[in-house]
Amino acid sequence: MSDQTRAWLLRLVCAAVGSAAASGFARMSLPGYLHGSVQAVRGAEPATLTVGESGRQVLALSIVNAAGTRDLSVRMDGARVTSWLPAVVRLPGLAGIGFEEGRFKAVPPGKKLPVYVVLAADQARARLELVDASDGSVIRSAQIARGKVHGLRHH
Amino acid sequence: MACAITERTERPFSSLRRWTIAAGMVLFLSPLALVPQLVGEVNMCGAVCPRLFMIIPSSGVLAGLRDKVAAEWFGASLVAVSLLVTFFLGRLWCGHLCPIGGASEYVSRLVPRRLRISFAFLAAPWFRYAYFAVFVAGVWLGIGAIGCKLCNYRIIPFLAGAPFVPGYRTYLLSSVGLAGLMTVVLTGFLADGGRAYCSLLCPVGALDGIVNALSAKLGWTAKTRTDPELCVGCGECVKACMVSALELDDECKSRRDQSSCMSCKECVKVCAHGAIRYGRS
Repeated sequence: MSDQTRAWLLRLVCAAVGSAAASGFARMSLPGYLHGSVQAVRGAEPATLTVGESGRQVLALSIVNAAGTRDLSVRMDGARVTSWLPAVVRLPGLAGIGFEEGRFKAVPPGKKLPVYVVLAADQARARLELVDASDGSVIRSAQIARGKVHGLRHH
Repeated sequence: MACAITERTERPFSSLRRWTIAAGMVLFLSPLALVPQLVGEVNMCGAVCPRLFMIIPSSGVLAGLRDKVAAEWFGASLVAVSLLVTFFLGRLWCGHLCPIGGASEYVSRLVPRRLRISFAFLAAPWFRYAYFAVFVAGVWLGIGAIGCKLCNYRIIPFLAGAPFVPGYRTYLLSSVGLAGLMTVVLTGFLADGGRAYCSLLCPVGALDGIVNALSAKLGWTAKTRTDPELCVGCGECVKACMVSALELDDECKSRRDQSSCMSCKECVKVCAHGAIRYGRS
């Protein structure tokens, strides 16, 4: 086999491996983690979110603030609610979103709030509530249950 | 004819690039994350994401493009500016400012050489553009979405924020987070040169590489170029390159793959024969 043939063979193999790797990553679904989104809209039907059948589950939620409030709490009994907010070092003069113990402050309308909810392995179901923290009213609830999952969920 | 290249010592790391990459890390990463905060984010997701808008949805190339670009407006703008700079001046974002590739490079230099993984055997452009094609068109073709999976623009900022914010730790310790972390470790921190993710998997780098390669054909664009008449085939540039963009050809002359070259200009500094210059040809 000539050097040129060998070089072309390597290129074709690398292209095949690259597309195979990308396809594999695209189809990859890892257990114990699911992403979904919930619109915080007053009066909307309760959402149903299905997480994996067993084991510790991390549910990554994008909560869209469509409730007409800038002060929003995420409550869920028996589960830990975290977020990648707030900024570690808030720049002076910038009204960044605050987050502490499940409560988001200064949330602009339409903003997507990143929330991570961790369900313990022995937790079968849970009820998540989105609350207007300014008056304590429930904006919307979501039932989180165990079952077969099929990827991204939008509510 | 076999070209003899002596054993490599540690790759050069110019003081200019140390400072510009450090500046990029301060500007974009926690704890300060200055640029994300200015656009209403706290990391490189959301409006700062420079990748998701490239993905073609199942309904077609233009479907929802305006909404996607609007959602990731800063990231899309960053990519546009980066491509413009690349056209005229080379891949300055990748080689000098990107906090993600730069952080990987910094960490890789701390790893003992015997533990580093070399990806030099790969025909990188062929792997890179096959991967990029699936990244962009995977949803449209029904393959699926790579999206945020294994994204180093997520993993490295999350690592930077993890000591301070619990949410980052929640993600990094999840199955998806650990898979992403492993990818960044293998193709970044442990990679020889620290830039295998950049060279093989990064969609922004893939686009930049196309623009760099095409614009290098225009003599009036500033690029890092090798003059084969001055090259003596010592191989020092090959050893210095962190992305294996250089190799010695059959005549033992240095040859450059402009789609892989990150315009870091370390090769310019190591060439003792003036064969490599940055500028117009």
